[in-house]
Amino acid sequence: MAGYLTNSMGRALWCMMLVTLIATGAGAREIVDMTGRRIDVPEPLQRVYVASPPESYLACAIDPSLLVGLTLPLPQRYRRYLPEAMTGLPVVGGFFGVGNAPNLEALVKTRPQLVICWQKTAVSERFDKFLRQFGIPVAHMTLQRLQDYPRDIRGMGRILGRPQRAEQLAAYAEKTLGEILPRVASMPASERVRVYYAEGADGLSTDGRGTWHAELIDLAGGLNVHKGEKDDLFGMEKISLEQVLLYRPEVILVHDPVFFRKIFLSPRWRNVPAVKNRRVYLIPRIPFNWFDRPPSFMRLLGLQWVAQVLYPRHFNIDMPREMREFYRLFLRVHLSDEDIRLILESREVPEHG
Amino acid sequence: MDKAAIADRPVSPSLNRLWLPGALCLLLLGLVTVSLSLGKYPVSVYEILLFFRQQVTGAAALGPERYDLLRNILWEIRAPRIAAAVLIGAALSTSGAAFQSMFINPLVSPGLLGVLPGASFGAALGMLLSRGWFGVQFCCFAGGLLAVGIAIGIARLYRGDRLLMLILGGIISGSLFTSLLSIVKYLADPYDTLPAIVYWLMGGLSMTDSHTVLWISIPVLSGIAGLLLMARYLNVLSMGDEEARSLGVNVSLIRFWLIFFATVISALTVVVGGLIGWVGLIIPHIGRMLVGPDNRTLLPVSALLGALYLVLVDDVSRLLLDIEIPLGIITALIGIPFFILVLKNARKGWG
Repeated sequence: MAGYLTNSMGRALWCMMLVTLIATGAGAREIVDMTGRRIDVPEPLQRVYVASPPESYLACAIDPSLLVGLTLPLPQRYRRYLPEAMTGLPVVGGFFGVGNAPNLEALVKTRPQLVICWQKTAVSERFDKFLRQFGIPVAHMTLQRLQDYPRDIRGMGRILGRPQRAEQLAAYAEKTLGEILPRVASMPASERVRVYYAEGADGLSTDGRGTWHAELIDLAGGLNVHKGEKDDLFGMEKISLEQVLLYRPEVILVHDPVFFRKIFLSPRWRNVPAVKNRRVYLIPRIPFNWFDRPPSFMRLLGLQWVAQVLYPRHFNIDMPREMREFYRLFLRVHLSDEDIRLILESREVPEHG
Repeated sequence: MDKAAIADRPVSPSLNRLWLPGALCLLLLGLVTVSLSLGKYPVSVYEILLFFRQQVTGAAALGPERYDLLRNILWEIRAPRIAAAVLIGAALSTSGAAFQSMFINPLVSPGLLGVLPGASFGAALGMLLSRGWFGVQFCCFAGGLLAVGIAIGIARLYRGDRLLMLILGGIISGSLFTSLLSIVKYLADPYDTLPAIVYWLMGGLSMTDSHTVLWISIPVLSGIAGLLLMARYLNVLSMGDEEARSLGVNVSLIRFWLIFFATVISALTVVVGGLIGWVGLIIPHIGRMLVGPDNRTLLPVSALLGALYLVLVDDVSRLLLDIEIPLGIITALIGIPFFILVLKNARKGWG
């Protein structure tokens, strides 16, 4: 901080910051973000902007009324599966390596009292500097490993000043992980199902064992057939169909509905064991993907779904009941039987074309 | 072989015209056969021979399951891909050679009039709007034609050097569609659509199935044939407009058809394989080094060389690493240094 205050501009900004603090009236509250930085945020906190989609969705699950805007346009078709307060939010933009970066001035215009953004990238540091000039504090928060979700959800709740609500969600996360992980650990290695994660319109992009993107396969006890050499933010390795044949996956989890429609029609895939035995599943994606891209809190439900898909005998999960509870708790929506069928079949893609 | 070919050229061009394309045809046939036996899935040459014997004679030498697997791998996975590589390589090289002659410029590639950015934009837009594959392919093709149409339209707005105006029109149209593409990428969902667009733009043949290849082969082969048939006029055009007119050639009409054929087949290569750069630029140079500037020989030789080159590059893309390397990346990596080397010699062929 001190570095910025050595010149007169810095002093001017410092004054501005003071003015902002005074203007907001009420006191300040000290929070500690994920990197351990201590940050003063105004109290009561009413206007928050979260710069990356998964974290933004979590903040919405905790309390959508706190947000000044969204990072991405919401899928319009799924509006009714989202909390009402969330669907009315304007789109400001966000940071996730590629794609729409927010217009910083537009962001400042929404007068956020706190900005929560991803940990350390070259871009986020510039972002940080810029916002500090306007006296807007920045907290860092990254959702990554699913096992850390209980901790991270509570952390997000503390930052947002909604600890009780976050506790409810964190408790659900803990319960889910506690139900699935020990049972997976007790499963003999010989029973592990070989799983291939098909991404992209050709189904030939994948994320391998041990990667963040395909984490649910590992957690649910599947053996991801691809070893995975690339574990970066973007992920997606290109492999050949012959390689998939060699891998002999027993189950294929499909990310792209276009590919899902094609896989049984195309003669090219017919000798892959999962296709032969018709154990190919389209990952539910309403209102956000349950598995990955974006890797959001929906993965808590996704974990149960993957476990159920891979080991229907071990896990006797009543998916409709779980879904009802999950959507009610996290998204505050009530699901009808028809909704549940639609979501599980992911039939949102129009059939034409 | 090149030295001999170059030395032969002035003495007996007719000889070159016959034996070199023939030799290249045989070479291509050999490479295709070898490529068919190459792949991640281990299949021995002996098994392939048994398989083909069984296909021809019906004598069952392989178990039914193995036979079906081989049919799957050879006919449904490898063959369409190799066929697509042949078609795309030939299409890009022929249209590149035709453009270089028509524009009397060795630095020209089939993308000169903006067909590649146009088609890329079309494909990206298709992915953004519909998610059906046919829609994407259609938008891709239409985008390519539209971009070239705009380039020609701009060229027509002003009087002056026709070729220069066309080149400028192409630059403008290409830049326009490049920025439109950026807009689409910016708007695309970063989790779903954007990765699809990015991979498409890197170029690759992993999507090709026999249905697409069969469907696309008809217009591509007709387009190549169209260009080959016009080789004689192309020779006249490459002497300059004035000369051509004085020889009684309808320059605008010929040029229109040349651009039309080259555009259609280049756009179709994007439909099948995404953006595969540099092939249409360097292969015609190699062709020219081998057989000289006579388009009647140069075009077929370029087509064959392009096919050979792309099949080879696709083999590398399939086999080199555990992951597939997008084709467009390899063609660019090989193409750029090669082009720098060729540039020095290229002028000779034009002398």
